[in-house]
Amino acid sequence: MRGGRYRLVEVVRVLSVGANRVSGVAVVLMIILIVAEVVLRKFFDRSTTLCDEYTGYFQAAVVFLSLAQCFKDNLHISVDLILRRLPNPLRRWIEVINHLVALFFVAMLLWAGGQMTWESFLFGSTSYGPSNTPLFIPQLVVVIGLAIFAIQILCSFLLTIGKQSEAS
Amino acid sequence: MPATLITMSLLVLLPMGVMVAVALGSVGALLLYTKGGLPALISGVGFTVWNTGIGFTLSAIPLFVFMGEVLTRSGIGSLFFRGISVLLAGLVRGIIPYTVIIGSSIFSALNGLSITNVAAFGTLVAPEIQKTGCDKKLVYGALVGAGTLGILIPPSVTALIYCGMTGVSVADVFLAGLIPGIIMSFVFIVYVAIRLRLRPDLAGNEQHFLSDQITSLDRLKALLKLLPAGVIIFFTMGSIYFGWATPTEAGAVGGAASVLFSIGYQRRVDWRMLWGCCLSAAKITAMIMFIIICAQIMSMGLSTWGITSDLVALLSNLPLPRLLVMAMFGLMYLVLGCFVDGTSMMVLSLPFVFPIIQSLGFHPVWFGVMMTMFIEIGQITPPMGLNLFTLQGVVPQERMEVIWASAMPYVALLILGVAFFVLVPQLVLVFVK
Repeated sequence: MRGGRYRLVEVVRVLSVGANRVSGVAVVLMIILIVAEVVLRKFFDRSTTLCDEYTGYFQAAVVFLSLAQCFKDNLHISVDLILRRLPNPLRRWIEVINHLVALFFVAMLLWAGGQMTWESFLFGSTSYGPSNTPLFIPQLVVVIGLAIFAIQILCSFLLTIGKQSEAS
Repeated sequence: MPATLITMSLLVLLPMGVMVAVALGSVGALLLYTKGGLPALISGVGFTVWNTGIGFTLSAIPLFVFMGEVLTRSGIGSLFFRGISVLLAGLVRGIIPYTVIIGSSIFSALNGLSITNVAAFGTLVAPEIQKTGCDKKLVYGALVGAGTLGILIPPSVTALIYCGMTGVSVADVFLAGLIPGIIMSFVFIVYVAIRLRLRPDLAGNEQHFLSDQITSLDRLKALLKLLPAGVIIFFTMGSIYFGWATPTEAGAVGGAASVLFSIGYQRRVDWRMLWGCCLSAAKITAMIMFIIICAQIMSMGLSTWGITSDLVALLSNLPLPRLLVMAMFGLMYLVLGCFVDGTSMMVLSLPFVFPIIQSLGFHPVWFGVMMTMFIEIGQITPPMGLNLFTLQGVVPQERMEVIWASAMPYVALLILGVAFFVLVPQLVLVFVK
């Protein structure tokens, strides 16, 4: 049981760290693309024509692929002023509920993102920009990010439950 | 009625410690579900997640955060600290607090977060307090107080979020923050000067700080070292002002320039540090954007039920003078700022407050600056003040009460500042075309 839990934690850690690295690369790509656009426009009177559109896709990658690692590092903001002052057993129960609310919400986001991506794929939707990029590709990044985020919350939920049962 | 109840459930979810983003999004999702059922929920949420996620305005966030991270981690803060203190040496007593305020103000023009200022200067200042015996409360106050200028003086991540949520021009809100930022910086300097005039002993013994005789050549060297920072500030802000580039483009160019600056300063390419900045910028962006996306879901839920328009109608029909409504909002933000962090406070309230502000005829750019100043106050009001926590992270041995007390004068000065700009809004709108 413990070995299984450890393996899950390890798999989720690798997924989160990996996704965060990809989103770090997206930051670099974003800077390169925009600087290239500015230089081309200012000095050569030309344009990459896809700067605005792809900046948006990179931004989506930056955001959604880092959600899980952000959660792992406890960076997502919550108001824990009251929670911190509660007695231990009660606090753990509330933490369990908090995890459930988060899991339910992110699962809903995942569903919504998944449906949107599936429809884009089904109807062959492409971007309005000149690149005609099939929209399901950047949208899939959103879905992958949300899926890893959901798994990360699930993992943390199981660990909290584990602590709770060990304590009682 | 059910919609109001659902919205009120925020008051249960937030104190429970549910992630702020999740609380906002859940309320929005419930509102959408109860109005239009599952199909409305799923399509509404999908639409909001995607369109907010790829928005060009908000894509400036990782760029400006990256820029600030590079400048902080490469140790350019120390260049500022040494440079400015050398320039001030012999001219004033109390070099440390003055250096912190002037340094934070200039550093604010290079990064868009307040905590970056506190972190960049806090580590440098702590040992100097020990050496000189300078009053630590005076310095801590300057650190957290002037640190808040990070979000007022452009570029500002807070302004980006405000504009991303309201559709107001980023360039306008950036430029509008400049004059209030400079005025507040000046007010902080005057405050320190008055304190030192009344109690000269607070400055400590500065001979330990700058032991050598400072020559004119030293001052010239210090000025030259600070020059690249001035060039970056000129190009990022100048390009926005003259319309050469959008704020997002300015962010990317500023990010690239800060990398070159750090390479020049460190005289080597520190790949590990730069990669760390990318990862950190990505995580901070994810944190901020998750709240914004969820707030947009809530905003959508509120408008489907017509809650926002009802509230606007209610408040607009009350026989209240508009300044009183503004004062009520101010009071609300003061209280809220004690318990909720700035970004959350803004995204939580904007869906309600912004339509009311518009209906009362206040200038949306001006209100963006006021909102930023409310957040600045929130960042240094205990118990939940981001800058206060950041400073304690830098000086862990210090009691939190000492840091709280040191911030109080700056809370008062910022409140006075808000009151002043409410009465003289023209000063905020000088550069707005």
